Amino acid sequence: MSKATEESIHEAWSSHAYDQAFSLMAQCYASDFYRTALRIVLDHATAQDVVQEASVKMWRALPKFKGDSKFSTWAYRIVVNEALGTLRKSKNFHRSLDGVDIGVPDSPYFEADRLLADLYRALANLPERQRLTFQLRYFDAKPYSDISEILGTSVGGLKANYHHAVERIKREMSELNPDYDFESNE
Amino acid sequence: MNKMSKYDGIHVPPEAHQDLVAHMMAAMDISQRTAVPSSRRRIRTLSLWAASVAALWAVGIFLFTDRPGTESDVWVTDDLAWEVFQAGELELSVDEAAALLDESELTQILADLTY
Repeated sequence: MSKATEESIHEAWSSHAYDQAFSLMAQCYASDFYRTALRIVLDHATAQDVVQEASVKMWRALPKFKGDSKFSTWAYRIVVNEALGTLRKSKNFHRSLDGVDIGVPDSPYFEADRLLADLYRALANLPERQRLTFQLRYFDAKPYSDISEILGTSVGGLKANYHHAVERIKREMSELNPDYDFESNE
Repeated sequence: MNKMSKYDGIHVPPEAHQDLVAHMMAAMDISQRTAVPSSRRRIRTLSLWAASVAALWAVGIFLFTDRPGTESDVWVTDDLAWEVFQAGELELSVDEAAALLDESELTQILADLTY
């Protein structure tokens, strides 16, 4: 499968071929949307629902897209907002029966060693903005300018969020396992 | 010492990716089917207006038109009563019939009965 480029999506969209633009976007980003949704809602079926609901919103909003940002950025914003909305409706977010935060995605497509699982556990204790900023920056390697558009936060605020997130993750993970040494991994 | 990877641990295999694509396309199809085209939406809006105006007009007619009294008088002519009697729809005793009918009519009935 050849990946559709941002330019080909834009080309289809600008010629009002919205079906084609949407199809290209789905082919190109479906897995990324799922990963983003899963990291927020932490549940496979819910993440799939989020992608589907976000797709409906993308499709309806596509003709009104202003074209002043990348499609992927615009679409990520819809997915993130949909996932956050779903999360807020759920009262039992990542809380196990004994009340301990888990924060680790529950999905057949997720596989993690202890380090990564601990990173997710540490992330679950972060404030929402810090957690999202860290995920988009660290896991997706997105530039701050894109994250700024996705989360609607200034680049300066994002950099501060990311810095605080990293510091807090180090503390949290050190508490989970004192063997973690972050000084040599900067 | 552990070294952090930027991999988020989520690996979507190609067939699962295609499933997700299919889900997205299905969402688009459903959205397309449920969306009402603008021309149809306009007609529906106009129909609602027309129905509202018609309903208001009917209420106005009901409230402001002089209507006949609610009492419903039933007028029964002699001929009609006679037809009913002859058809056997009205049961009368001999005394009641004798009080209602004159002699010739009573004779006629008796002739009919003996026919």
